[in-house]
Amino acid sequence: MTNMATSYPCAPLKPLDSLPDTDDISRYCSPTKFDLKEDAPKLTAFFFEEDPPELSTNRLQYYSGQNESGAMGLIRDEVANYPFKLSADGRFVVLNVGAILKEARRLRISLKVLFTPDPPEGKMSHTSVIGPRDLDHMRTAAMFVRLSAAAPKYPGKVKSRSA
Amino acid sequence: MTIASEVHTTLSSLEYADDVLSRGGQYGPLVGAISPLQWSSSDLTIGQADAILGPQVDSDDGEILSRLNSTWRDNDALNARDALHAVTLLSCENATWEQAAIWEYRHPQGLFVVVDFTNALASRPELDPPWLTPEQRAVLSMLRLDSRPVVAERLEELLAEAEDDPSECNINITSLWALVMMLTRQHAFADPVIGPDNQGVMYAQWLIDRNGVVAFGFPEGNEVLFVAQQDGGPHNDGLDVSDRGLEQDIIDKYGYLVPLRSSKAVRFPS
Repeated sequence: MTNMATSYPCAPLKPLDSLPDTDDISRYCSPTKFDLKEDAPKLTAFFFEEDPPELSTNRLQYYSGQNESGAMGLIRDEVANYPFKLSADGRFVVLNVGAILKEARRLRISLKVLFTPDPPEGKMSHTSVIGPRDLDHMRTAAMFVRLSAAAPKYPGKVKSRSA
Repeated sequence: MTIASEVHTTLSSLEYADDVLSRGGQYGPLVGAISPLQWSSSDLTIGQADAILGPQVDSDDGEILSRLNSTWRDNDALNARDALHAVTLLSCENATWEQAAIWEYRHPQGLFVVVDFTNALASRPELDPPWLTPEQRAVLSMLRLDSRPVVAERLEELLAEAEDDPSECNINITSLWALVMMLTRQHAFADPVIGPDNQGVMYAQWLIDRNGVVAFGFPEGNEVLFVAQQDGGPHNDGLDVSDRGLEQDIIDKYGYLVPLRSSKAVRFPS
């Protein structure tokens, strides 16, 4: 996992480029999909959308010059404008692309991690994990839960300080 | 037999458990209308009756008839199923027909039945917690009686979240019930973390030693889904199971993988 003190290098990608193994992505888990007592996401946080099987994430390295914490702050600001509500009880889980793909290969799950920004929608760092149409959703979600257990996690919303 | 009693008899035979949960919390006076051509004392069914739903109908007779007239003419968007369904919902929401005000109107365009639960609902006892339906409370009671207060509490939170934001957390009650029944039957299993997917299908999962997962899914039907995974060791021979089948068959094959109540392995250190 990326050292929090390390600034991300600038590595611009074109839309639909594959992310390099060294990149990190974050997945937002809403409060219903994250167990605070266990500090771990639930299986349901990693069920892919259907047709095509896709998991929506964000690329930390899009925000070059930031360390992990700084990049996550900017991603939080970006995702706050997506059409769903961020919550202080939700969590962003940060996962390394190389670790995901290595584990997927071990389990013979075919996955790709593609840069899929949508600037008109403000989704500048948006990334998609893509699976095959016959993806075993439950088994794939279980893999992500395991990878997330020891991964860095950030609150979905930072409470502002009272004046 | 009056129209009201006939409607009551028809509605009482319906089962809308899933929808009762998904539409819980909708209250107000309701109007059912039956056209003269479709009405007889013996053939009132959901498919044959037209009806309209007027959740904000005032109790003033003149206004009700005015609303009925205007709605009757262009009620394509409303149908008998919605109206009768809503009445059923209310009858399940602790308001009994004996408490409801029921009026019948004879009108050139048909016979109308107005069912108003407003006063019944206003006088109903406080539920604990207030957002739960009788079915949901029964589920929680069963879990508490089965000594699973942790799961019962989590279920309560999920149901409250489903009530607050159905788009975020839409629970399939059939799936939830299947989960509850499994936990009730499998006394030895540790309390799982539970949650619904985007379709409301419930999943129960256990984490093992920070690098493993065991989970059941409960899609509609008799089968359960099952996965078990754990990281590979030095020989890369980690656990990787994905299967589906009848609950007991799956438990017979893989139940030994599920953490037990006597084990602390399922709990992360706080």
